[in-house]
Amino acid sequence: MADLVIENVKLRYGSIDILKGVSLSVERGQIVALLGPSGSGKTTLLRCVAGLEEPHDGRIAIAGKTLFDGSKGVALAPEERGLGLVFQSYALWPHKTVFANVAYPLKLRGVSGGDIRARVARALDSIGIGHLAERFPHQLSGGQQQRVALARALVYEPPVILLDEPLSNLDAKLREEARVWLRQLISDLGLSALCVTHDQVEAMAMADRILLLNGGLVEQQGTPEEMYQRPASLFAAEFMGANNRLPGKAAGVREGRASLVFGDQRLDGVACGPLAEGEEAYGVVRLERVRMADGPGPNRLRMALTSEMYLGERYELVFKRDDLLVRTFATAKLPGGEHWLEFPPDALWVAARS
Amino acid sequence: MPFALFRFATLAIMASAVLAPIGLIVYQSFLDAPFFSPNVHFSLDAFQFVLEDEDFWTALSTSVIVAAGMTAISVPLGVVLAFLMARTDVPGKWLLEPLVLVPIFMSAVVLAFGYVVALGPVGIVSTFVKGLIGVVPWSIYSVTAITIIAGLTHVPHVYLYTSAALRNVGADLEEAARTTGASPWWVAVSVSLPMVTPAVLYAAVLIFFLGFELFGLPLVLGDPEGILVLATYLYKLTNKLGVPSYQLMAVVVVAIILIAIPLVWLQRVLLASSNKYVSVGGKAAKRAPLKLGALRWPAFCLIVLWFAVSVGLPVFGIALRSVVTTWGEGVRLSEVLTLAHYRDLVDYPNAIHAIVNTVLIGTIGGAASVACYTAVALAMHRWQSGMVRIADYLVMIPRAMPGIVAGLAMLWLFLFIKPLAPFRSTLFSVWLAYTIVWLAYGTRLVSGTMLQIGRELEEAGRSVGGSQGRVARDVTLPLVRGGILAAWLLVFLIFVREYSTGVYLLGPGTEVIGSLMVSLWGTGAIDLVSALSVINILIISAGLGLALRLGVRLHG
Repeated sequence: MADLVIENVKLRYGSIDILKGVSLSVERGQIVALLGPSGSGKTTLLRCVAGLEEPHDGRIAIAGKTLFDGSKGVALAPEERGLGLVFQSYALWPHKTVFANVAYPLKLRGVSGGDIRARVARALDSIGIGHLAERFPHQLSGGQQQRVALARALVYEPPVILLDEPLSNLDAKLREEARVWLRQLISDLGLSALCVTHDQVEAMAMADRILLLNGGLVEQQGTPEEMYQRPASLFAAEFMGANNRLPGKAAGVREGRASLVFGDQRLDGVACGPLAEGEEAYGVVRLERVRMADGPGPNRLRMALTSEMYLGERYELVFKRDDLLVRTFATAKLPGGEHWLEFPPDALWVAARS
Repeated sequence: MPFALFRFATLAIMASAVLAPIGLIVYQSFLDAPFFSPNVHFSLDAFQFVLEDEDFWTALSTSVIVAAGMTAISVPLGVVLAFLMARTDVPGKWLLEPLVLVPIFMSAVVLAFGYVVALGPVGIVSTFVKGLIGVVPWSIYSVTAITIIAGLTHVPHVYLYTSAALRNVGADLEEAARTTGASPWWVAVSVSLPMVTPAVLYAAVLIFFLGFELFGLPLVLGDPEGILVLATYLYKLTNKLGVPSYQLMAVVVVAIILIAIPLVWLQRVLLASSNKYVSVGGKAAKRAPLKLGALRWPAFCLIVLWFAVSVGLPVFGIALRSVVTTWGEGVRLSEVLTLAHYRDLVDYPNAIHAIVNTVLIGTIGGAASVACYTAVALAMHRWQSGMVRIADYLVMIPRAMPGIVAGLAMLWLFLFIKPLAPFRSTLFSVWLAYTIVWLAYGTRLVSGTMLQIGRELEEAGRSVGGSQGRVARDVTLPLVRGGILAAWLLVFLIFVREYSTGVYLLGPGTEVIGSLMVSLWGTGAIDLVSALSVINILIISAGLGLALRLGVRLHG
């Protein structure tokens, strides 16, 4: 059964449509990531679920209980929704200790003093910050603050937890650790979570399903594998991963296949989104899917190596041919001059320019 | 929905407290006799009388001259002062910084008394100068003197807004100009100054507006020569016809408010635009102050000279006058020294009441007022509703009422509304008038601190299950506690300084130092007035010292 259901939610600020009808559902125990560029409406959607923004249309329900229904005029206040929300800034109350921050939701629910102490201690211990209870937020590191924010949102056992860019305030190293830890914690507790992020790697690492938003609409949704391997549009293809973009025209469009034609070259690939024969198109291929080949062949181009960057675990190479630039990775240094590159047909998406 | 109820109730009370006095004044202006007279009719006679009265037009034009003149004096001085303090290495900043704000907290009547005592025809400085060169080369009782003194004492207002704006101009913007080849002074003129122009403009309109409110200075310095401005014209009108001419006073008040409203509105527009401008600025990084070089000490002396003339001189004058029996040509200080005035003060019950009442109204009254301002600010805090705009304008309305007008309106209100009548001769009436007059100032002080709380801290409270009321109590209020305490101190200073609002309410039980001094000055009791002035200065100094000690920012 779906824990959280969002149907056709629309929201407008003045004359600007922020959300143009977004639907999604989060199954029990699932982590769903809301992914998109800034301005795509992902944080607004999260705030709509929390009750901090009011859509003008649509429906939001949790475990069968309606939180918002535009047509019936139902709009529960944030405090009546019983959700857990972790803010991007953590929003820890600076005048309360860690203990008091986490205890506050229980106090609001009329839990007795002894129970509060026990439950807060359990919540803090379960995320490894039991020893920090008497500190104030400003005495904590960023990572510790994030854990307190999480404990505060979990202590009253909400059915769904909402996370707004939970890792964006941590430095790069800590972020990778926290990602693993957060995913483990959410699945251990059997929680359902909706998580906003602008980082596709983070989304793929943490989520069971990804919802890609673009301009207030759902561009595509699916498992991380589906999103990465079978993008449904040029936007989805380019938003995920690091890509090369090859301009040309579409040809031979049929049964989900298409070719990209430019100059006297023809590269076969997979049609991505609606595409018409002869239309201006882009070929999109992930950096890591471009292969070094040993000689001419189908779907291969001869290109000149122009620069080489050492990234530690590998090299990034830049090839050039006329106006065309192609980047790829190699494990070893390459001699200068011309090389053959192969664009595997199942890794080249041909999508209409729009 | 108890919080919604709190909102509406608070705003309803605020609205009636603001609108009732103004409504009563407008109503009174269309009557042919005081509103409580048995036989009263609607009439435009009062308007006709005032508009045909030459004195009214003279007072109006004097007000315009004084307001324009003091703006012309205080704006350039204030901008220079702000630039010196915010951007240069002028010495002794730690001392100057709090000092330059002191004139804001000095009572204008006390300063006026001080100037008369120091620079009047037989003043302490005047007789000294006369002894040297044989004549006194100035006249303190003139429009020019009023304008210059008002201009000098209003420099801090310009300084405040300009220096705040200067500090907001991103260092990177100025550094960008430096790297493209501009000299420091050229950067100041071509980058910094244009960036703060909206703030300076705002300050200019504010000063011009305050010029129309002037009461203490023209009363003390203008009256002996028959010089009237609008506020003193209103004050003198009481005796114009020999009978209480309420309808005439109401007409003058309506005129003052009609002049003030567009100015207040203009201030709002300019403030909004200056904020917009400032937010364009880049990062507020630390920047190296400009080196004044050889001009360092001259700049320091300029600031000290300004302070000496606008505060030091009058305070010295009034303090000296309070410990001498008499002053005039050929008087030797050692022969006239006395503490008799202070002893007389102790024997004068009204003065003791005034001192006690002033302290009460500053401390307890100030706390009560800040509680009211906090309630209003809380009711309007983060409210997504059209009501907020209306409430915003309501809060601004008292700003258009000079203190003397608000005091008059309050007096009439207590006469008009029967259940309030018993409170007329209690301190409550004075407190209510003070609270309403400073509503805009106080509410902005408190709401300013509330807006500094991150929105997410309150949203977090809501999302874990707290109602609006609970979150206001458990998150918002505890976080603004410091700001509210600071507001209390500032309101204390302002209430102790206040004099004009209490003038019409002055009576047994409602004496405060400010209004009592105005009334005593009229009777020529200069000995008592000077002693009271010193006490007023001492109370304010104590408050200022405490504020500085606690690190309270002396402005909102």
